Amino acid sequence: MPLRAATILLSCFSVAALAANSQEDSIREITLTSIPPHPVSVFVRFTDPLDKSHAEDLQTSNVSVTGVCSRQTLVVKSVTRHIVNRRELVIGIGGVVPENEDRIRVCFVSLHFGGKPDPVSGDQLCAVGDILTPQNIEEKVRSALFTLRGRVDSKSERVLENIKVTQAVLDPGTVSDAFGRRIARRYVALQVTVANSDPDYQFLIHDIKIRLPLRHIEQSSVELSILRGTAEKGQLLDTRNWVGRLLRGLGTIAAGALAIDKFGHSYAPSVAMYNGPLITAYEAIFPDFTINQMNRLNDSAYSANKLVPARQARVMVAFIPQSELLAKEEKEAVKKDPHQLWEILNATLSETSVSGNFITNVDEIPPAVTAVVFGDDMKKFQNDNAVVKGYVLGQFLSDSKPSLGEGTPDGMTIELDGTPTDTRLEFTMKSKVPVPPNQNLELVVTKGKSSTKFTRAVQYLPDQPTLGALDPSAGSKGEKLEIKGTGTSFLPGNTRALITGCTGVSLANQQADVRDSKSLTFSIQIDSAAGSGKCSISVMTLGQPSQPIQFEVK
Amino acid sequence: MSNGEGNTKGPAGTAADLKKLLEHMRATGTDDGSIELAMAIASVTSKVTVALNPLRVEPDDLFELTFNDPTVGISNAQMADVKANLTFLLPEIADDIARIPEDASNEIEDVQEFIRLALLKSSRGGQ
Repeated sequence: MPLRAATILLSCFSVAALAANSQEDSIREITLTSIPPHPVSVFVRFTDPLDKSHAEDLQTSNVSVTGVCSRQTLVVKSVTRHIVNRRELVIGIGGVVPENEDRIRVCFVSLHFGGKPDPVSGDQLCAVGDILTPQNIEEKVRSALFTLRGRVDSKSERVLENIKVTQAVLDPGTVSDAFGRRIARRYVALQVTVANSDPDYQFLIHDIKIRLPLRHIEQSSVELSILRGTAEKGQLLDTRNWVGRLLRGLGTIAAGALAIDKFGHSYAPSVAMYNGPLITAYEAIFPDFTINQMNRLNDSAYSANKLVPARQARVMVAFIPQSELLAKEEKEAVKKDPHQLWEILNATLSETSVSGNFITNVDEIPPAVTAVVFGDDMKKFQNDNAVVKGYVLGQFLSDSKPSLGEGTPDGMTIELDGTPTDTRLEFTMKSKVPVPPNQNLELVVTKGKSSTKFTRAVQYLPDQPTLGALDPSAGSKGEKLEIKGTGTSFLPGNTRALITGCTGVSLANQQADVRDSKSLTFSIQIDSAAGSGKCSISVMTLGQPSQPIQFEVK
Repeated sequence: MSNGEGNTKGPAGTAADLKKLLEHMRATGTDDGSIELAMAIASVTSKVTVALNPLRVEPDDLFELTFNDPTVGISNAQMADVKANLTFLLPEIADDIARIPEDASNEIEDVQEFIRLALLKSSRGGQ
């Protein structure tokens, strides 16, 4: 029995090959449909349009349909023209297709084609085609899709098979809480989940698009770097932040007036209290939410070249400008009732598409740095031997290492903390001497042979300095003295001495020489005509004065 | 988009109009998705029309052309609209329609064949 089956199979292949070789150009494609409950029929597609005026072409005697393997002739019930396609005929078949048959041969005696005066006949009107069955229809659909995607390689087909995208419209209130009010007012946010079921490849996302076909709108998500611009302006204009800046500005002006004698002895301590405890208390009572919102934006917002590992899913947020999707009246409606946004997007059949490529190896892609985040830890830079923790946000960060670039202050080092993930690299920075605010730090993230640089300014509000003692604490007229001061919170390049309450005593240099956060030196010149008595000497760091202590002129 | 004689002209009006026309077509005879495809195209471009009585598609060689042929006038960007309309008319094969590439250089006939097979797969349509 197995031998017989093998013989039949061999003979079928031989005939099929012969029949295929005899196929001419007049017939482009033939398929017989044998999928119950549909009637058995043959679709014949020609290379040229048929001439409708020749009814004789549709005679059943003009065509024969034969099983390639069984050689059994099928009964032709009807021949009709396709309802709209001029190049197609539909042949109705009576009875059933022989079992185990998978190909048919169709031959026409003669046919009239448009633009040709004489009918075509002969072998060029014979061709072999497949039989569509419930078992192979899935494969045939896939094959037809391949025809449509003639220029698309098999890997792209694999993307279609393995990448699934789902979307959810985020409520504007949630967007405001999570990413800031300015972002919520200007963008429609969609939570997009990209699932990669491929067992071998990682999926590199190039673009996320939202489409509202019935409105003829197709819009890509705004990239993270652009969004950050909007968010940063929102951070600057945030009420809490600009009130804080106003308070600090007033404090700086008040501190600048310390040298004016007329304000009296209580002025300096008052300014010190304002610039110290009062502003610190304000910042504690009203925490800055915008920092976390910015970090959340970095973590969640769509950015180009996001990677979805094999067999994993990634959730990100796509931001589409409201002005692109919504009319003015719709924006007003959404402002009053956020549910309207859902109504609008769903009623217009919105859909999200993701484009990208499968990749096998991410090592060759250089690390991308979106932000370097320190948080409140950054204030420790004010101290000697500071140890400050932070992290780098970005992409392709796994297996990468941090280092410091050009312009790094002396005595500063950086170390990797733990194992970096694809999007986050944690580090610890150490500095022997205090690092003042606004000092630029260049971080270099290196992965293999690739590296990326990112400059981040040190930003913190320094503590108010204290001055505990002066050595010497007295001087004689006509002397030039170098005085050593001890205290706390001195900053190199940003701390200077102030002398008030006496005449004929002046500073040789505006800036004090700060060796560490607890000691500094400065020079004074005491004129020979200076008045005897006591002066008040204080130090000021970035607008914040210390309590004054006495210096005696003998 | 629809007049009293059952003609459709692109660009289309509402999807509800198309649905009404489609039901009429199904009631009058066989359907392998080609009428729906012609309607989906006609609703996007004014260069293509579909008449019902008698059934006629203009240009009559529509299925021999590509979507971006000057006599059809559909761009890559508009392919998304064609697909959206087609999804509305043939919701049972929405997943397959979504896989049609938005490449207007494809032959309309090839898309027609893909739709026919997809409909057969979903046990709908056919001759």
